[in-house]
Formats: sequence, structure tokens, C-alpha cells
Amino acid sequence: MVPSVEITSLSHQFSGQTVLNEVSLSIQPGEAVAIVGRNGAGKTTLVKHMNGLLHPHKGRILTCGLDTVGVSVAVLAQTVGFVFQNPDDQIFCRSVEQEIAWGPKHLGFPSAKIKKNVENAIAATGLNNMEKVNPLDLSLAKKKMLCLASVLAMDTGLLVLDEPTMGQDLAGKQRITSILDELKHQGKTVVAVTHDMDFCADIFERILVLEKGRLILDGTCEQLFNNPDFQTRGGILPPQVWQLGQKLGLAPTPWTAAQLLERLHTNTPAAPANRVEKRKTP
Amino acid sequence: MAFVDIENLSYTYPLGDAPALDAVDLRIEPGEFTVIMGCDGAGRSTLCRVVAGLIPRVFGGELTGRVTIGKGPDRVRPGFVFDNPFNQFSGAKFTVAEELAFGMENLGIDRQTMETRIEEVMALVEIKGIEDRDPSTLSGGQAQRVALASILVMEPELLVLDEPASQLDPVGAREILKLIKKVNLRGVTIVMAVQTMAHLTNLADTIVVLDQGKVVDTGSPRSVLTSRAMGDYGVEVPRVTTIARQARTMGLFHGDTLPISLDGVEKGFSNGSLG
Repeated sequence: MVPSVEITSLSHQFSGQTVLNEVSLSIQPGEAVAIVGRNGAGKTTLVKHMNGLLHPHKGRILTCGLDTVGVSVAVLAQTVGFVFQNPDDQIFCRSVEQEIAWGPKHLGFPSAKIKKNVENAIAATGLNNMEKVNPLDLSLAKKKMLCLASVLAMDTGLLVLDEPTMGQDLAGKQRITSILDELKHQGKTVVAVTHDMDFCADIFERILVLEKGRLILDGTCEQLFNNPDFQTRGGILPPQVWQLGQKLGLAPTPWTAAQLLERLHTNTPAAPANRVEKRKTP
Repeated sequence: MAFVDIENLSYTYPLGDAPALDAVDLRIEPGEFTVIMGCDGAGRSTLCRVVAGLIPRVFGGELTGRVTIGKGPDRVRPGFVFDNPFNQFSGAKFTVAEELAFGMENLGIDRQTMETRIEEVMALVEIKGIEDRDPSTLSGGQAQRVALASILVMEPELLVLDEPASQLDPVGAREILKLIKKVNLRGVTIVMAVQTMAHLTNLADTIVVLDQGKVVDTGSPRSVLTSRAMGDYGVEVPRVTTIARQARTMGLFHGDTLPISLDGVEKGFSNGSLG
């Protein structure tokens, strides 16, 4: 099977300063991968290589088997959808509806499919009744949701999301979690840059930690949260659930609320048999 | 007299269908650290803009009610940190150092003072080494630090911040919030809009909760965050609070009060669960 992303010894510089240094990794179809690290570690620079917005100064990147240097961003857009960190860098149409339809329209989808994809994307992101609104009048959270909707409507096999939960309130975060759950269920590949460790713990099986342009960990939540060295170097604080689990001496340490409650329940014979919904098992 | 005194304030944006703020009453005392919470669209940013004096002067629209900011007859110059730092940058300066000097230049501050303050504040917010970078090429987190620094150099008496840590890594966010508390302890009054209180429970004096433009709760972090109504308003409370609440219904938490931070939290859980 062709990997969704195959990176070999990739380096990149800005104004002579190395921001990515010999990064190598491979992401298989259907994987959900989070990229974390301190501000300026190179996270956004790395993902911008995945849809050809940036080209490596050294090394090579293949996205869905295509060498990003040899093809245009427009061609890559058929296989990779990209949500920018700053929505103002992405949005340019005069209405929410036009913005979401722009991608599938320029991918050459038939009009019936465009209409269906736009409707589905609006429903998934909760932008109902805002179809005619000018995107510039939306809040930051709604703009971010619009950017995600625009990419969902393109129906690509690989989605790259830069800080998807930024600016979202509780309901927005829950909605994004549910969208990503559905994408995983559909077998799509999801790569997300994030600082939100609760979100990381809820969704992603695989975590990449960058430090000063170098990949210092390619592993699991458990490996990251159990290793203070990686946390310090990556500027990471484990989720509050994890810290609570450690304070309570639960082993293995849970990283979601459901896991923690289930472990507490298991350790308490007299507790009532409330069912705890399980999302992910470490 | 309160430092910020808002009475029966209602405000509608130009072309807005409904009021963004609706009959808001708010008093903030000098030196107080006030956090504004609420779901998306609740009016948090709008209230920040009112306190910073940007509404209605810059945004236009229709404002009714009374807004007084300052000690007695002397108005103060507030500093305002935008939620999107790239919207805050002047766009007229080509290096970080020039961007930091921009506000002070417009206040007529002498060069020697400007250089001293830039040096101090760059060290304070940990952005040394990027003085010569073009602000438009910074990462989101670096830009957010520069945006905060560009306001701190003007030494405002009232610092208004709209989601100042939304793009920072978790350790960076914690450090910046501690830094804002440090600024507060120097006597600066703080008004800050945030989505989550995970790192803030020990910093703020008061939380104001907005819902559809109305103030629906005001009080200490403990009283507000442990209120069951927060879920109805879409406010994200610390996970330790929601877990303890759920654990209590399952007979797994026996503390007298729900925790809002991890400090000493194990006592409430240990009785009857692991004990």
C-alpha cells in the first residue's frame, strides 16, 4: 500500500536558519497522527510540505506517492486537504456556501456531488443557517470551522489540520472530536498539528514530537506522557486526567476521563455499576 | 470608585441583527484580575473591546448605557492584546524590534527609554533572538508573544487580553499566564477573555460568565467553576472538576467541595475509592 506521507531526510531553512533538520517518517493510510512541540519547533513548516506549499531544501517528500516537487499544489489538492492555522490565510470567498463549494468545484466534481458535499460539510461543522454569511463576519472559532468544512467537502483521503481546536469552545472541541472520529471510521488519514493535549489523548494513536526542527519522538501518548524529558523538550504538559491518574496511583495511568472513571470503578467493589463509555485503551 | 464601571450596557454591531451585549453590569476594582468566559458568540471579545475603548469608537455600532474606565476623573490608557496577533501587528514595520517600538513612538517616548523597555520586555516574554525577524513570518506562538510584548512596553494601567495564549504550546501558555499574573501583581488591572481555565484557577480573582451577551454569573473561580450551570452555558471547566462531579454520582468522590485544580485533589478521591 502506498503511504499517505513518506518523508526522507527532509530539511528546510528560513533566512539561513534551519527550521527542519533531517526529518524522516512514514504515515500509512488510515492513521491518525498528531504533531506536537514548542512554538517555532517546525510543526507548521513540516505540514506545509505535505501539500506542496513548501518544498524541501534537502531530502524528499512523497504525498500519496507523488513527489511534491514535481507536481503543482492544485494536483496535490486532489489527494490532500489542508486547513491553515490562521483561517484568514485560507478564506477568500464572499459567503460560507461559496467558500465550501470552491474546493470541490475546482476539483471538477459534478454539481450534484458538490451540492451534497457542501450540505454534508455544513451539517458536520454546525454552520447551518450561515450559508449566506460573509466569512469575514464570523468569529475565529466559526472561521476555523469553515476552513475544516471546506476541506471536508473536497473528500480527500488525507487531511492535514493545523491547530484545529484553536479558538473553539467546549461544544466546538466536541464537534471536531466527533468529526475526526468519523473520518477515522471512514479510513481517512488525519495529520494534525496541535497544542491541545486533551484532544491528542482523545483522538490520536500516534504522536510526533518536534524539537528545534528535529523529530525527537515518534510514538504513543503513553510514551510521551510517561517521559518527562520529551515533555520538557516538546513544551508539553500531560492532560489533567493523566496527572490526576498519577496522583491517585492508577496503573497503567489513564489519559481519558472514561478510562480514569472505569479504573476507579474497578478498584471500588462497592461502587454502583454505572456504565462508563470507553473511547480508547492505552 | 471602581476602575472599570459598566452599567446597563447594551451594544449592537453595525449590520448586527441582535445585541452582542445585553444589559451588562460590571465593576472591576483597581488591581483586580478578571477573567471573562462563555461559549463562542457569547460576547467575550465584544466586552473586551468595550473595556479597551475600541467600541464604539473603532467598531461603530449602537451603544447604550454607561461605561467609565479610570480612577475618578482621570481616564487611563488601556492596552489591548488581540486574539489573532497578525491582526494586531501594524503592518508598517519590518522587524520585531520596530514593531515593539511602534506604539511607544506614537506615544512620544524617547529613544533611550524605548530601547530599555524593549530589552526588558523581550527578556520577560522570552522572545530574545528574533529582534530582526519580519513579524509576518513568525510562528503563531511567537507572534502571540510579540503581540503581548508590544503592549507591555507601553506600560498600560489596564491590560485587556483576548485569548492571549490560544496559539501557545502548553508550557508556553502556562508561562505567559504566570507572566500576566506577575504584571497584575505590579498593580496592573487585568481583564482577559479565555475559553478554558485549566491553568488559570490560581491566577484570577473573579470570573464573569457571559451567555448570549448577558452576564449570567460572577464570582470567585471556585464558586463559578463548580456551578452546575456552567455546562448549560458551554463553559469549559477544568477536567478535574467534571471528573470529580461524575465520580461523586458514582460514589467514587467524597470531597466536601469539587476540586478546580490538582492541588490536594487525591484526598477527595482516596476515601472509599482506593483507600
